[in-house]
Amino acid sequence: MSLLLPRLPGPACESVIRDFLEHGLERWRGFDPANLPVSVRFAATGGTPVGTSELEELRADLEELARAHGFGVTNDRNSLAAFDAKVAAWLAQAELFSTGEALRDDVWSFVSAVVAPDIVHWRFGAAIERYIGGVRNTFQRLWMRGRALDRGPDHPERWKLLTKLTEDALVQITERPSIGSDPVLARAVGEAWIRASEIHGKSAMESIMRRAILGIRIRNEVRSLADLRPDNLADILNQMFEI
Amino acid sequence: MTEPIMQLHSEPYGSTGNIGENFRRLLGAPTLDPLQTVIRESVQNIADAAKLGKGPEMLIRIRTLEAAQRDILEHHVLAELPAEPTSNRQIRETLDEDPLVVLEVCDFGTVGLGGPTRSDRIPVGTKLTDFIDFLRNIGTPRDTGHGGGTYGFGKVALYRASSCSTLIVDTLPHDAGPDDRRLIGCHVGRSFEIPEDDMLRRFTGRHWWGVRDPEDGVADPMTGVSADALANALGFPDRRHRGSGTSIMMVGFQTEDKDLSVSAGRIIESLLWNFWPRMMADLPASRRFRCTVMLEDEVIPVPEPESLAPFDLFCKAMRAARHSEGNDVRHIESLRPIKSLGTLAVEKGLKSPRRHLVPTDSLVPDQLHHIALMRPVELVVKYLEGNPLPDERLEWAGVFLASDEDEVERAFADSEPPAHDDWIPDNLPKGNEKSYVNIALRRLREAASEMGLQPAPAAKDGDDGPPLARLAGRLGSVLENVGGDGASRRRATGGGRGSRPKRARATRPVFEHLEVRKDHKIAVFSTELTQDAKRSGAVLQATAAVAIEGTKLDRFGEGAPNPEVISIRWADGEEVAKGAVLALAGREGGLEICVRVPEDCAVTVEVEVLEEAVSR
Repeated sequence: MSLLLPRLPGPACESVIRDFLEHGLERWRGFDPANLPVSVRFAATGGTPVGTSELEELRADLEELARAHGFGVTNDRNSLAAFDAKVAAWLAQAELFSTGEALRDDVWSFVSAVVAPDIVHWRFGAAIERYIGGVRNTFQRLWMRGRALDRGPDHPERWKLLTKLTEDALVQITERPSIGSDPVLARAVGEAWIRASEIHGKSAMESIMRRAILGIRIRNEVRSLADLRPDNLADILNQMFEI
Repeated sequence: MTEPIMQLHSEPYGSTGNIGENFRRLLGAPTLDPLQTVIRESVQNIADAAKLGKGPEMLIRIRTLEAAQRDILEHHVLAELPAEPTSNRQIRETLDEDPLVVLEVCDFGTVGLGGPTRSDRIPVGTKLTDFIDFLRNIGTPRDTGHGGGTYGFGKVALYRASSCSTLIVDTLPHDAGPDDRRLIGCHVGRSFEIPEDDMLRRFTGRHWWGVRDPEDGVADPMTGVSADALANALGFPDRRHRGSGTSIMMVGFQTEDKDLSVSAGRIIESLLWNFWPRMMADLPASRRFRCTVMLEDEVIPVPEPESLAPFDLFCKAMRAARHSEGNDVRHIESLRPIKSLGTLAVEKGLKSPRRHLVPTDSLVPDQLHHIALMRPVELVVKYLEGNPLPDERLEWAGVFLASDEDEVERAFADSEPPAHDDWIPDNLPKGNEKSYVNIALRRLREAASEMGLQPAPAAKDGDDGPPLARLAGRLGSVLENVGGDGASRRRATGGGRGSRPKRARATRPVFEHLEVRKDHKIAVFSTELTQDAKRSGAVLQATAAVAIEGTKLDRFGEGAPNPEVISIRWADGEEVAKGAVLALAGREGGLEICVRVPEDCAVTVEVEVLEEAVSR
């Protein structure tokens, strides 16, 4: 039976965050899985609610990942990018986020606002959209990236796309629903980006990527790109990326 | 300690007459059931009493009096009974009920009933007259700016909820010390006469229990230590700990439900149905109601409106109305004189499964199609019913929030009947205020009936294959979340078929077929144009765009293909215009729009009917 994750509805999340930001990090009492905010809900059916030990483990794992990248010590951009890549890969493989529960914004609101607001604050500061569920949520965006750009367990460099692609490229892929929600297409776009960057150089990629993404979205209306043979798809993408 | 005994005073007629027993009739015939009326009236009163900068905390409790409490009620509070036979019998019978159940409505963190205790003896300079307004006077105008109530009649509902029309009121005014607790009993019965010195002395039928003034015999509330002792002995919440506020006990709770837990469910449902805007989690603490419902000693949880269908949808509309930001927010205005009357916000969503709070006769409709009407105080006045959406798996909820400008707010407030459960323009004298209410209601009725009339997309026979909408809907309903912010059709622009629309309009263009020409492809779209009564539609203008992710690409350049409207023709064959603009010359009917389709993309078309010719 699948595990149900705690859900924190949007408005409740906003008030939790406002409270957190108002009182500051120092006054935050830490995450206590035995004492969740009253507005936290579970789905009525479909599994068993997650236990306190799993939630404690989640908190410990996230904190360990963050500390390994300078949480509480540094805000260096490179270590933040490395943190993103690491957490994306970790979330994509986490048992806890392997069911449809992870598709829900309110689940990610809970993770960001209740389990680890301190880590969100370290990563992004006070920007509220990083705490509330959605494509910009600190952890949800990483989970989406991990899921969309996983090369598969048998690949020797399984998570390479996460480390190679720039933040701009990652955002272009995951924030476009027609691309980000389709792992086949998302991966193919990621691979094409790497091929193109080797030719054009990383600095030229931002505008190339924008044009390519627009072209892909337009073509995707009349052709099911993800259903093409991989070599055909790569050909079309090469064209888009001006290779 | 021996508890003190309260004394009875029956109100005699004044030399110039009194309002007497008609008091009970004053409430009119409320459109709500009695329990809902009690909850509405009491909570409205509490809302008005929450002037201390914090939201009121309220406790609504159904309980059976224990033997000791019954004894106190019978021998210390209602020890003397009125001489009038019907009143006497009613109270006697209630006191003999076994079990004797009472309904209590208590509030904390509010102002309580302070001020003088006599209507005719108000020291000069007194501002606060809550006590006499609630207990002595009838029909006192409101003094709470933008408050929930505007009359003083609503309290009759409370008397009605008691099987012997008797209330026990315990109050601690906020500006007073802990020894200023006041306790008084009141009963409303028939008027009656007693022979006295060859004359008939007439009485109004109102009776009070308290401490009789040795001079004129009028009962004032019992106060101080005696009131404290007696109120606590009756089981009222302790005021020394919980602070100022008022507790009202309806002696002999009248209910149609055999099972009291059903009544408790009804109370919770009434609270939510009438006060959900003030129970929302994102309200500042100064406005938020904190409600506790108890049955005997057990707390019955009150769900948050955000987490209970269909209130979650209302909450979404409410947030849209408050911030003027949502999927469908409209400003309702009066043109003569120009005045903003308020904001209407409508939200649509998948109908979530209901969790019923009561087994039968629920106030909450199965498929929502209602606009909640309210003034800025955000108490629901009533629900305006519209048309349900044709697809039963969907529902819509609207919120109309009247403007907080004084003149407009007052117009709506003054149009309310004593029970505050309607807006009746005829209650107002002729003038601007009356038109404000009239215009707003007319617009709202139009909007409400328009909602359900959204035409279903034109179904095409032939090669489209079986429709998947129903299956898709079923799959979609598995996702419980109501918040559908995705692509959705905005409201239709006019009424139903048959009648002329207010403005000339054309339906959203539907793709018909592709035509392959020598060197390019043409997509043909159809639309149906309807003129208004004055045939004022002069020009049809079509705009083509590249389709992308269920909508259109609103950005050009950067190498994006550029589709072009090449002609518009009447469906009867006569090609009239090259390009994207067609002069209508008063005509209406079916039209075909031809769009050149660039390679490797899909196109959409939007049309607009203009009343004046565009220069091009």
